[in-house]
Order: sequence, then C-alpha cells, then structure tokens
Amino acid sequence: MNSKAFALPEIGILIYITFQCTELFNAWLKTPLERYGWLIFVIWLLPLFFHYVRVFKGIVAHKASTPLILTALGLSLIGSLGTLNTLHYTGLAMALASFLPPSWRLISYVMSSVAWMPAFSWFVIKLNAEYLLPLRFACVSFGIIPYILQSFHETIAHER
Amino acid sequence: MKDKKVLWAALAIVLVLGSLWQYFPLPDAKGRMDALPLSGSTFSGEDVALNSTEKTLFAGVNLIKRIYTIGAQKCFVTVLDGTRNKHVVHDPFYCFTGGGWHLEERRQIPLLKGSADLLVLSRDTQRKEVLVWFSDGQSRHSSALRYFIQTTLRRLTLGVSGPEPLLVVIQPYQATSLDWNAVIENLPPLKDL
Repeated sequence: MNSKAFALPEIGILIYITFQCTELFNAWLKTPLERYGWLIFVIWLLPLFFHYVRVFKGIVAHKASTPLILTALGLSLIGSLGTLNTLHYTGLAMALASFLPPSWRLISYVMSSVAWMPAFSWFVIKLNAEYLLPLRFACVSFGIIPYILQSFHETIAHER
Repeated sequence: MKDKKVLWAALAIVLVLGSLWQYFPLPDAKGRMDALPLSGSTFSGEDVALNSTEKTLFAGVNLIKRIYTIGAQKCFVTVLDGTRNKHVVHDPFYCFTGGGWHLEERRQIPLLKGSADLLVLSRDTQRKEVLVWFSDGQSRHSSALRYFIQTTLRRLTLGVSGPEPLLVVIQPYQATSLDWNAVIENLPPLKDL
C-alpha cells in the first residue's frame, strides 16, 4: 500500500465538504425525482475506485491536486455562506476528482458529476421528465468512460 | 509539506467563516407577509393549520397557508419566506413534477411590475391550474433561477443586495381552475407582497 495514499488535510477537507452535502443524501432517499441519484453517484465514483486499486497495488502514485481541492473547499464555503446546495455538491465533485491524476479527462469527469445532482433533474424536467434516468446515465458515462478505458489500459500495460 | 500547511490553514479559515456567518442574521419578510390581511371588502380568508409534516418541514419559517373566498371563487394561497431556511423553497414546477403532475400548458399572467406563471397540470384524470410567482416587494417574476441567484447574493452580501423574495402559490380550492384576473383584481394585497 502506498503510505502517501491518505493525507490528513485532504481527508479532513473531504469530510467537511461531504458533511455540507447531507441534503443531497436526503434528496436521494426522499425526493421522487432524485431516487436514482445515489446509483449514478456510485457509478460516477468508479474511476476513483479503479485509480485507488492501482495506487494500492503500487502501479501509480497518489497525489491529490492542491489547487483543485482548494477550489472545492472555496465553492463549498460560498455554498454555505450563500445557502446554495448546488455549490456544495459541485465542491464535493471537485474534491473527489482532486484525487485523480490531472489530465484533460478531469474536465469531463467533473462536468459529468451534475448527473447525480438535483440541478440535473431540475433542468431536464423542463424538457421531458421521462428522459431523466437515461440522460443521467448518458451524462455520467461521458465522464467516466475515458477514465475506465485508461485504467484498463494502464493495468494491462503494467501486468505485461 | 507546504501544501499540507496551506490545506490545513484553508480548512481552518473555512470553518471559522462558516461558523461566524450565522451571527449575522438577515431581516426576514414577515412585515410584508403580515400586511396580507385575512379579509377585505372583496375577499375573506381563513388560516389553515399545518399538519405534522408541515410543522416539521417549515419549523421556524414564515409561512402563510390560507383559503380565500373571492365572490363565488375559493383559492388556496401559500406564501413562503425562505429567510430562515432557504432550502424549503423549491421551484414549484419541480415539486409538482415530482408529485406526478405533467405540464400541459404554461402561460404568463401580468402582475404589477412583473408577471406570474400559470401552470396547467394534469395527473391521470386530474387537472388543475396553479399560479406561481416570486416577489421581493419591488418586482415579480416566475423564474426559480433568478430566485436562487437573488437569495444567494442576498446571503453573501448580508442583505445589502435587496429584500428576500417570497414564493406565492395560488391554487383553486375544490375546483380545477379560477378566473385568475378576478382573483388578482379582488385580492389586491397579493399584488403588493
């Protein structure tokens, strides 16, 4: 296991930001339009899961992006002061994404996080609520597929 | 090592700022809500008690829940002030859609210094019309996005940016539709909220 995999301040910030997102978890449990949000979130976490499997195997090193996690913290603070949950959720997405290696894939990954947020359904229902779940899957796929393909490629290359 | 110090410092600043902000409470809109009378020359109203779920959900929140009789028409009026808890105010269209209602038609009804949205909704064999708008006492609109921006700015500026917008929702009581122009004309204090 990579001993630098877990840095205390990064984990502390992640815990703080997650704590600001309790309304999101309530929405997933209680709000009809958000009932599959938790599933989309779990799918969205797959790149992180695969990345840390490789970190623990020693294939890649862990390094969280300080600028990204600070941006996440700033967004969450503005969300607290302005009482706007969407900023908390965006902060959570960026904080989690900060644990992935920096690359162009990070942009699409963070953008695709909207798929598990109530803001997504708020926007989609203005078009057609029936397409909400398929569009959530399409949106999250846009963000995770490049990472999953990269993970498989690097794992296979390492095992050779 | 330097990064860790920066992160710890940032987290400490955020915790302090986040804790201090609550000690600058914003003035609420109770005065404007209290100015909505129960009765007048062309209308009479009665307050409706909150059920147990509403009491929990709206604890500490300024809320009007009334039935107004205007001539032969009866309507359910809800006015919500999100100053103490902004999260209880949602886009009404989002709430109705979550309740299984489908939007059949949306049109604008002009109000003093703005407009309201008239939503025509259906669910199975049910049909109803709902009039919604947000008002800060100076202008009226039906944009939930504008409401979120207004209220977020208000909190970030500790109230300097303007008064709290209220959410006003009017639904027919024991009917599916109303003569909306007559409702607005004969319940004039609503226009001043």
